[in-house]
Amino acid sequence: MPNPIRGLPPSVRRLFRLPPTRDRIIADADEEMRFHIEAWTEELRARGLSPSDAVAAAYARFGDPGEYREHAVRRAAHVTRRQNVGIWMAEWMQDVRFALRHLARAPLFTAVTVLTLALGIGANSAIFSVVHRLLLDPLPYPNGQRIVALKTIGNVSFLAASASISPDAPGDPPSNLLQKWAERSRSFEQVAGVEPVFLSLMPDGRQDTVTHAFATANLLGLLGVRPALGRGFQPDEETPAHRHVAMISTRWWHAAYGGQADVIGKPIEYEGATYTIVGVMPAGFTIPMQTRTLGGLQMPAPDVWLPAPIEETSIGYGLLRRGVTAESATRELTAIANALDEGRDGHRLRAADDSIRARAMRASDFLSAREVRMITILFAAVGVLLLIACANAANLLLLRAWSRRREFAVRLGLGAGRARLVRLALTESVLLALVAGALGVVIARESLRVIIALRPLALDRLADVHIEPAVLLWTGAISVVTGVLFGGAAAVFGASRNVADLLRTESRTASSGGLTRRVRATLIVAEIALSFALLVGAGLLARSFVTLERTRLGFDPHNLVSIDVLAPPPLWMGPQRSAVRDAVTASLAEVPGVTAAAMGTLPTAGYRVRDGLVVETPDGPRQIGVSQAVTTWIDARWFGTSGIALLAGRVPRAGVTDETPLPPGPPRGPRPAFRRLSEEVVVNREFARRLAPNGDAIGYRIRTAPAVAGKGPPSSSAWSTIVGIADDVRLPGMHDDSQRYQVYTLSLTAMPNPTYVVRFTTIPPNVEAVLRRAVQRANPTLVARRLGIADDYVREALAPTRFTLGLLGAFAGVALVLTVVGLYASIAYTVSQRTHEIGIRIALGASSRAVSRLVLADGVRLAVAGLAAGALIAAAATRALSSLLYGVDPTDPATFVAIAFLVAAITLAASWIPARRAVRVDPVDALRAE
Amino acid sequence: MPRDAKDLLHGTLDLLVLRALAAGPMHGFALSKWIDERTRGELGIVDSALYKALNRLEDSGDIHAEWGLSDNNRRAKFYSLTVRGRRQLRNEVASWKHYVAVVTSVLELG
Repeated sequence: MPNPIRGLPPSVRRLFRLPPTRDRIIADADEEMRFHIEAWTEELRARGLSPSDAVAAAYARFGDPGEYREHAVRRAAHVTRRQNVGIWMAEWMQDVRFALRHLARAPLFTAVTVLTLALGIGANSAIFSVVHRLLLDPLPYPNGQRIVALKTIGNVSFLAASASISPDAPGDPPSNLLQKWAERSRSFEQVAGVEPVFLSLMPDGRQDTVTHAFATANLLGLLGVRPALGRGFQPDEETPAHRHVAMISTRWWHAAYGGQADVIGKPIEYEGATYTIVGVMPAGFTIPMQTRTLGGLQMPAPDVWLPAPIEETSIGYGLLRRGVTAESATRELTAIANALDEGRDGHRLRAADDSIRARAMRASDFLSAREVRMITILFAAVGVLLLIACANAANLLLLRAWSRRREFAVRLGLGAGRARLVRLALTESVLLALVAGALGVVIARESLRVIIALRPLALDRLADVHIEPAVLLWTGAISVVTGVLFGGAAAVFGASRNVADLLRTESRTASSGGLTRRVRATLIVAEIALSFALLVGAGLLARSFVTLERTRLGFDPHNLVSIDVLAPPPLWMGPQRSAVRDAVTASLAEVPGVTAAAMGTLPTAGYRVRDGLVVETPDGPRQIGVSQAVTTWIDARWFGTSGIALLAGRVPRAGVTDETPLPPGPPRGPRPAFRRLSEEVVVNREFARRLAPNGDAIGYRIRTAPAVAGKGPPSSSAWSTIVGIADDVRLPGMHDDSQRYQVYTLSLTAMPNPTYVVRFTTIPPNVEAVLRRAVQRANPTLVARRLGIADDYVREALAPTRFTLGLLGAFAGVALVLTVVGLYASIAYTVSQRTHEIGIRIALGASSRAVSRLVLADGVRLAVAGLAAGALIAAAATRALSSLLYGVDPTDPATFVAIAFLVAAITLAASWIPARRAVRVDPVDALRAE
Repeated sequence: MPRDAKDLLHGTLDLLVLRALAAGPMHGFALSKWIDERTRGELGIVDSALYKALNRLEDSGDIHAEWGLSDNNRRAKFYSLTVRGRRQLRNEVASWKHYVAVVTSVLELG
């Protein structure tokens, strides 16, 4: 804009002490130089030189006039530049002061707008941080993007795996496979391995409380981290000759050695041997990419690390070469694994018809499709919330701009430039956005705290989620853009009218400018529609949650715990094993507070054995087409302890061929028939129906058969008789077959280490120690580990739905509140604008009902349009939820109608309050007021 | 105070100007005459350098410039010391004396 100062004559500038312009500075310098030369010329003439000599001498003593002029020009530019900056700063400070004053004058508007934007920004920052932590940058190591875990999919061996882990879950490969991968694979720069030690024993046979793990020397290098102190392992330390070195964790360093630097070189004991400490792991270092599952063995961060070669480890990691994708690495790993098949002699550890599936998994791959879906839905929902928040803010800004149009007109009339007005409005909007941003950060931090508390086990990585700086920048930018866009647009509207027009236009005419009104109406309709969609989503999830919670479990999980008990081989293989088991059960039952104890795993936590099942029908043996069955090893008291009803028949009794202790030495004489199931078994109701649709399955004979004839262990599996039918047990939310078919068998020669279930009246706080002591009272060489709590399993099954519902519900609620506030503000404003008109109507005899109908009509129209659009959006969008819903359709009409009623009621209420106020308008006041 | 040759020259000239103006406000011509008389022309100061020094001192706030009328009623720019300028003069004189003393003592060591 033209600098008004320049136009004034110098005397006026001097009078007002205005700063000189550039030209003036140069002209002054010229004049000074001229005066100087003239004065010296006179002086020299007075001293006796001739006029021409005097002039020449005067010039000579001055120096180079050209150079002096250049100096003057430079100085002028420099000085004026400083002045201009000063002017801009002063103007800008003035803008900010004005903006603050205006915002303070309308505190409700300011507060609501700020809160609206802050909620949008805060929620978005929180969810984006979650997405970032889980999907975009999940590994906290420098090489994080290129690190993959080397896994096999599905069971590689016929050995049992806990049924609570899905059959397609990634598992650790056998050690020799890891070694072959390390040797032959070309996709990786490095392959490292870790072997956690789940059971360290001290020399006296007791369980060690210090946790240990083995790692290859290149583990730290692969991850790209350095030890906190000392050094890592050298490759030659993996060999037996040199491997008596160790590294300790930072936690252990502080706990056991006080964090002193002289810990390097100190000795440390493990299983009777001595190791020398050579380094300390970085703080918080743990086994990377361990997925937490209930029922899996969980290990806290190891305290002591020891070196091991790759062929003695089973958790493998690879550092992808640059440019190599995880998918191509997966293909290579699978090829190597299956090529390994040929030439393996002797008895295979798995059925050869299904080849080994390998997978190079990035950290983000550990999330199941369902979990990724969950996160995506939440991300979309929070984006919708941001849209609504921005729309609301825009609405409010437009309203305010319209209400200030006369003020703008006056300013224009007084000579403020249009640009200046726009700048003023923009400053307001930017200020609002910045304050909203700051508040948004606080909201985001609190939201993350809630998210961390509610998180399901599958999203356990969220434990250390924090706000990413990138997120703040991004959402801050969005809020500034919104503010600028609508604040600026509003200012342009306000400033572009003919001044006279504006001053003339009174409230007499229609309530607001046509364009702004249409824009605002569209915004509100959009808000209603989007809120409706969010609410429908939340409603569907709520119904699913209720369905899940009411699932019949089939057992009683309250105060039921389980514990694994391991015995040393002599005790386990010997003939006294059943005596030991009875002793343990008795000892557990004697613990104060225990009402019952039995051998067996928790219900639904049995083992999945990859064998087919054959049933004897009158027409001959028939393979049952059951996808998989879960086998649980129990004793007679187990059903009672677990609270599972026996619907028919009885508890199985031990048969003579069930447990035949193997005599030492080579087999003499015929081996007893290999049993996979005890002589008498129990199956669940679902299974029984499958076996005998029309009749009673009791009395049927059943046995296992390997999946493919001719492979696997010798199939001289003997027949078992079904003697009882138990109630179905299930965890809420199991979509697949994994829990449907259950076989309960008594203890056998070949069974995994037994687990015991214990029912308490209330679970004591130190339950694991209490149980461990009881086990050791039965026999001091027994080891107890892996406490399981039945209530945790149930809660964890509900957790994903609870998590999604909680967040989506919160977003939907906030969205509705914002929408209603925006609607109320709009209609209230409209009413206040039309006071004059309403006054006339009342004076002319309109009934109060007619007046309120007039006002309500607006709200009703908006609500109807919003609901219609919302129904369409919701119908399309809720399809995305279907994998998370239980017992309810994505387009469930009842939910849609209920939410529609809710939204309609609330929006009508929001319109009704201003309507009531309209009715109470005093016609005399209204007519008088302008 | 660290100085190189150009700084040294500027600093000395600034000092002379400040000292001259301590005697009273004067315009550029009067200043050049004052310095000329006191130094008997032996320093060979070029007048344009003098004006540059005046600009420098004005920008740093040590002197104040104002247009006024000379003895023969011609427009001239008069310079005067500011409070800050007086303080600066005192400091610079002290520095200068110290500087001269140090260098002299080194030279007299022989």
